[in-house]
Amino acid sequence: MLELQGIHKTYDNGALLHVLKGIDLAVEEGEFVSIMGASGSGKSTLLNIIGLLDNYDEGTYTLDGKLMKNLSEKEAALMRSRYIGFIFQSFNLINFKTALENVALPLYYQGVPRRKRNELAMEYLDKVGLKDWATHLPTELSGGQRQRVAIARALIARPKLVLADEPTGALDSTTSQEVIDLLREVNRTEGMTMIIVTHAPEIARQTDKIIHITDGLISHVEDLKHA
Amino acid sequence: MLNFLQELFASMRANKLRTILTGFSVSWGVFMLMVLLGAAGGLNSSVMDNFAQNATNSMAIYGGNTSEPFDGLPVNRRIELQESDVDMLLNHFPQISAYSRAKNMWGIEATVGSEYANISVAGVDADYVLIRPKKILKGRALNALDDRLARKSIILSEASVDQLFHNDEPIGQTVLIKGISFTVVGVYENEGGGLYGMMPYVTMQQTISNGNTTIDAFNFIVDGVTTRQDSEAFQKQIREVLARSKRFSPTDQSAVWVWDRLGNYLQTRMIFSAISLFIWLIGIGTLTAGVVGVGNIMIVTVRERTKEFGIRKAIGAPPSAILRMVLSESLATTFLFGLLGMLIGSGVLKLVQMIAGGMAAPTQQDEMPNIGMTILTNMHVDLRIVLSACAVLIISGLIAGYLPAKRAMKMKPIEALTAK
Repeated sequence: MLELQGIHKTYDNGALLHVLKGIDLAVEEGEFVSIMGASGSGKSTLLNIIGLLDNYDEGTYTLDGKLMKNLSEKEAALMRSRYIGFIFQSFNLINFKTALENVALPLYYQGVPRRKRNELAMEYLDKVGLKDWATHLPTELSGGQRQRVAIARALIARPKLVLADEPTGALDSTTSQEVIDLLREVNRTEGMTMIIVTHAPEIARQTDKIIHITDGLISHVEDLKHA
Repeated sequence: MLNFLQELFASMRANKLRTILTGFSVSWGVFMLMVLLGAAGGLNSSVMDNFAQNATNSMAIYGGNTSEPFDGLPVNRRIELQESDVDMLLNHFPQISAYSRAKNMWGIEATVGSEYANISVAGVDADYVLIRPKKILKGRALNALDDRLARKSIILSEASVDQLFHNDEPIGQTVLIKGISFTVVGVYENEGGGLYGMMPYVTMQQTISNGNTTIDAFNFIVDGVTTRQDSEAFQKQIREVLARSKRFSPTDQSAVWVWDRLGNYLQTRMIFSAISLFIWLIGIGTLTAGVVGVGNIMIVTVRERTKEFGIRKAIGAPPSAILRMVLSESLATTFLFGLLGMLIGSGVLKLVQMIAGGMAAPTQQDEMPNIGMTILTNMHVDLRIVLSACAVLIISGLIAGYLPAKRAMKMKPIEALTAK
């Protein structure tokens, strides 16, 4: 599905900060992978690069067989629109839009007509168990519900790759488990590739593979599926 | 397109108060522009209407007194115009296409039966109507046949008719002036009212005048004079020709009086163009303040919505979609509120016009028309102004939105997402 070779990333905020120091990583189609590491280890940066939200300085990144290098904003937006769904720690829903409108938004940028968009959005809201909350604003929903709306939004465009940055970071343990169960089920039924960044071991342990990052490098990979 | 509009209005609704407050400054700007331009238009057409009553390329020459000694002749010499001067000028200036001599007799007694009135009678040539058109209320104007046959025809002002005939039909009736019978052929409207009458110049010379060949005024229309320079040059030539024959200094402005309607007209028109320009400047200034306000708010909006744009980008919005979104929000705000200002502006202009029109109507006869009222009744919104205001609005909306939109578009999604 995707392959990274010798990825380097340096931030320049007055002082140079070498965040990624040569990452080599391959993720197969349909895999459910977690990335773990201490804060500042570079795990979020890695996820952003995979998600084409950020660029990298050195190395190569191929997504679905295509080299992702020096993409223009427009090309990156098109790739994101077609391949990638995002789930964030802080949900990142648009506050003045209802749950339904939030879920339907990716389809708007794909030019899907409103009627079709809303039908599909309702279907996905139903999948995450929030059909009755469709007309509610995000502020009227609990944290777990918001994250489920965000998951529905990430899935609606049927991306091949779902990236989740600390999806349970803002949730209590019960809701966290529900969210992970939901992601797991989607991975199994839809076959979408999933990469989760987390620092919670009990979350990571439920994925197929844990990639440990320390100080900008992959220190070791735990293969749980075949262990 | 419909999708796009729905998306646009959703985000405008989300910031209702801010949109309204910003929009208000634009409405106000357009409103001011409309009212100012409407008032200027009113003033303009009031004054220009006044001009329209007379042929604009007409001139008149009157006798005067010298103010400079010339050729050994003293100052303060009376210069009178003579019939022979008219003939000479006509020979000299073929571009004079129509003319009328005029001789005035002030306050002479006219009687009809037992009624009498002291009316002022002017003797004029038939072409006078071309130079100073009078509105004929009844009957006809004086014509060339009256001149040729030296008919004893007279036309009377409304007030004269009222006094001499009361409610009787005046046309075809006889008026006695200095013991001579004149036939009333028409009734005309004299601005400002008053007891007046007009008869052919030749008739006056043969009947009631003392027969001398001095005239009070020489009115004429000149062809081919369209600019101020033309008219000033022509005036100068006329003065030179008259100065030579009547022996006064060609630079002596008071020896003969030249009254130049075209010059006046052009000068007035120039003043109005200047006023118009000034008003546009004020209006555009006010509008600019509104537009700067919109631009300002759009910058704030973009900063505040940075995160939202980040989210949109993350879920697949191309940069062009973000640019279009901000730009059209700015455009929609300026345009909708501009339109509102325009509507209110035209409404106010219409209302003022209606009210003032109702008040101004009864005053027309007895007094000079109230110029203030005339300005108000003439206030109008012409389509040209509305269209230019629309163009100004669209351009302003684009200008106001451009920088903020560009900023929103350029933001990297990752930076936008992590923005607070």
